[in-house]
Amino acid sequence: LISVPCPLCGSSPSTDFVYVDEAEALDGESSTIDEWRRSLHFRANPFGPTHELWQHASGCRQVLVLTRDRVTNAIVASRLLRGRGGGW
Amino acid sequence: VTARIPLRPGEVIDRTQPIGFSWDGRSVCGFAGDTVASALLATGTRTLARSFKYHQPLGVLSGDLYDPHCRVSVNGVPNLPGAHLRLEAGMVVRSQGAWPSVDRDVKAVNGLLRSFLVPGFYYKTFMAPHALLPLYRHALRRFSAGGKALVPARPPAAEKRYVFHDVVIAGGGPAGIAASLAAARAGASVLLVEQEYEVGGSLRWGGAADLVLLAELRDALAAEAGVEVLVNSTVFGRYDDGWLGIRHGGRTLGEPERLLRGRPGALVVACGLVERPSLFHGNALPGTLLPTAVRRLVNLHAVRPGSRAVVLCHDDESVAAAADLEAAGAEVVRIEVSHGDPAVARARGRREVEAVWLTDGRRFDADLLVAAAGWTVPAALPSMAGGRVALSSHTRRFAIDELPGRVVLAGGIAGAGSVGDFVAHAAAVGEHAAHLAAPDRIAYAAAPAALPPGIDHDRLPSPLPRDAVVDFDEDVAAGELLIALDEGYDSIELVKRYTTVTMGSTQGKHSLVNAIAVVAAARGQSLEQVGTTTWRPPFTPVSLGMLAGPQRHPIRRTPLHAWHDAHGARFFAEGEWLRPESYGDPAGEARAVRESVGVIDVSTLGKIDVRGDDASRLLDYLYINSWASLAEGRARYGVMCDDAGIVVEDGVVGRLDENRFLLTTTSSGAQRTWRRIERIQQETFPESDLYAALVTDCYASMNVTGPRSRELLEPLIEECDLERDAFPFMHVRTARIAGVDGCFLWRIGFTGELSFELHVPAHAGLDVWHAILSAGERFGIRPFGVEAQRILRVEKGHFVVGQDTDSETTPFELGLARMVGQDKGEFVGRIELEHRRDREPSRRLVGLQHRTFLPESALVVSDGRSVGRVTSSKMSPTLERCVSLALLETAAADRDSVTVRLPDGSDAEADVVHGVCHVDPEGARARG
Repeated sequence: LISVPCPLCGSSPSTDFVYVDEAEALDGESSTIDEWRRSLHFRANPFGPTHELWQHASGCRQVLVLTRDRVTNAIVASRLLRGRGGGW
Repeated sequence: VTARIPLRPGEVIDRTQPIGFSWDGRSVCGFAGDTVASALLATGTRTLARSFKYHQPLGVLSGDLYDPHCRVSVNGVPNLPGAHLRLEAGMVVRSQGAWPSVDRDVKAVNGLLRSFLVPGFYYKTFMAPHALLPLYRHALRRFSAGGKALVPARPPAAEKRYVFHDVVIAGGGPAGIAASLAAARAGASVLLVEQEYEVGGSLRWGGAADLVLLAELRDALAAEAGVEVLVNSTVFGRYDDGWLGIRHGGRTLGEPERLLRGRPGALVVACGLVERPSLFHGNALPGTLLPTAVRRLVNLHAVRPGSRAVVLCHDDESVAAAADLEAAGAEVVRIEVSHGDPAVARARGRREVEAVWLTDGRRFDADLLVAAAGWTVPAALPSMAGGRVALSSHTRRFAIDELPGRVVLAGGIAGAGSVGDFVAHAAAVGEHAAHLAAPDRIAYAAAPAALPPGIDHDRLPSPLPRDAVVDFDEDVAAGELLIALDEGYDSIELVKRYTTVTMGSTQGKHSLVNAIAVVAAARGQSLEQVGTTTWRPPFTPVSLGMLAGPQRHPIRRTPLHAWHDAHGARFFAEGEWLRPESYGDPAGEARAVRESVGVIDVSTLGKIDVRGDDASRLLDYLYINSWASLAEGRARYGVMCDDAGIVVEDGVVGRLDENRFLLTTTSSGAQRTWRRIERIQQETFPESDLYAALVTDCYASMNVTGPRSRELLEPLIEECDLERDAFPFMHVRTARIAGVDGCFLWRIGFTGELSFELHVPAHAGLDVWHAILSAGERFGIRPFGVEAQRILRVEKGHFVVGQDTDSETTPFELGLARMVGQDKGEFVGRIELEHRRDREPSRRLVGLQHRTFLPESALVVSDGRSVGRVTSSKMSPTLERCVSLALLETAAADRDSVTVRLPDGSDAEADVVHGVCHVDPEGARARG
């Protein structure tokens, strides 16, 4: 049960959050269907830091972009998604 | 024969309180404060268990919670620590792993087969022929170790508890108490976790000076309000970001074990040291005890574990054990040991120790052999915390460094010293930990200087005694480690897995260092080169019932629940909601809707209020269909897809005014859809004028449906003309209903009949429900449950997302091609749906009909292969046939009949209903 830092509420147990998705923005406008499908289904799964979307569902309900290290499970950055724009 | 001795100054038994219990069917008496093992030893019983593989007799080894020998079953709860468990009246204690008894165990035949029962024996022997595997399994199970769980014996699971202390201290010995006091005096809230029944650690079985110090520390602890003390409790794991698991209580009659969890500001590990056994022939025989076990038995329980003792005096503890034995009236031979010399060469005896040989050739007759190799640093918690743990050739102990911030060590695990040194060091550690936990509140206190390392001087015997037991839990001898190495398992981690050394319930507390030493010697490596295995939770065994805890789920009831309950509703759970499945007669309820009128509670339906100048832009992005053209007061069915174009949610949306929409979702999809809206709002429309709120709970919703519904409602509705032309199908109005303001009225429904859906402020829901029922009396109105609604919706061919669709279903398979938005800009799923728009879908949802029932999930077959499946199926009271929906490959969906494979293997020819709808395909009834 990791502790997740929220820029608005401070740290809370991860059970207060809902994992949404990887945070790599999908570019809907310029993709071909093959590129789109690849970006949807073939995830990078890096050995190291990765960007993820979590929503503070039992808190401020903001969607956060967390930078989480998949090796150490450490969350090294947390910011609001607000205003990123781009695709779903 | 009694081994009980006269009063000891620190004894914990109460001689005025005899306690009777049964041991393998025999009545035994001990005293309050005795453990199961001490009470048995006091009566002269020395064989308490049989070993795991070879069924050798076992007695007491370490005499504490970690004792690997005396695992017992108590009242049907297996694998309990007999040297820790306190006696309670009426305990039914059984030995484990032996048949018919520990004294005469026929399974000891395994011992004769010792040379065959090598590591990997089962894999090597019982692999072929394959057909015999079940037979092997059956036979081998009878030889498996451990007690038998009697299921009803499990005490009820206890509520879990969260702890919020600044500092948690694992271990209530002198160091743990001193650290607790210092931390609390500095201003921290402290939780002191002690795994025995009393705090005090080694002081409890110590000498006169120890008992004085113990009394002082206990008095101070009792007077300190800032420390909560938990006994019979263990910090069993440290997880990510300092999350702790603590077990509390349990293990005894009736009392359930409780799970505590929390993330303290700092953790002080003060769990002491674990005495390490020596390796020699016969080191598991009853009568071979570690010095600490002797001291505990003599000083805490006033039990003399033997009358003729050989004690190898290699450190303070073993010297003190010899003195304790003499005071207890035993005849003691002290062997002065210097740098591991001399050591025990072998202990021999038929059922217990009878004679002892030393490496210098001396032989003694004895019934008690007290020897240890040194001390093990129980590095589990520091290791779980991320500290680096390495075994040092110089000290033969684990060295711990690179601990993460806010984890500190105190007591024997931190180094060597006198009790006074430990107490002084631990007090400084406690103050430091208090500051670490709450730096803004508690003044800075530096970490104390490190204690010098403790050093052991033992040496492995040479040549290595192959049958010396390394791991007492798993009955793994030194020779088996050598076999594993010979067979190529050359890393300590592989040796562990192949031989199961250190994998038993004590998790290597006694065996890990010896196992590493054996591997190092055999490979000619240093201890550092061999490395260590990995420590994982739990530190001591925990029960699965404790981890599970009592299972509790939130239940949500609609505002009309009390009425349903009073009128014979049968409820079912839909997510957290309880909904009426029926009022006893679903077919009759459905018929009433088709013939006259019915009413159903649909309050669980998700409702989301979306407002703002950009509301229609949000909807355009969220749904596959377009919303800009939806006029005020109209409603439209909408479908949401995911990025892959798969249908994930649907529902009707009404436009209440220019900038306000009310979205309805499935009962289970409301939360998910609200989160989805919030994400789109934050990510894609951050600067927009847009507000979304989940309002499901604000309304009681009911659907009045059937040909007489308009007639029924007309007298109840104000401010809204119900006539067909004034309020057509798929429209929404605000209205005053049965005198209640602020209601919404929709011309929508799931039944295919003339329907009005009412959203009434929740507090007035029951009033309106009653008004509808009494107004409907003259039409024979029937309340109906979800089962009747399922019948009606399958008759009508309405699909349910998640039941009639799967993870590959696109809108095109559902015949919704016209809904997929064109020229409306970006929306979720656009790329996939545009790509697929002009391609024939591979499957299609159709209706099926048959005389007899076609069960859901039945396969539709063609040419011997599956071409789809039945997704929903009901017997239709309207058509008096089975009506179904089925997701079929396109070629099969085009046919007029298909073959359905029934569960009994027979086939049924079902008629295909093109266009899905079984009843009133033109929709005239709903529009009426």
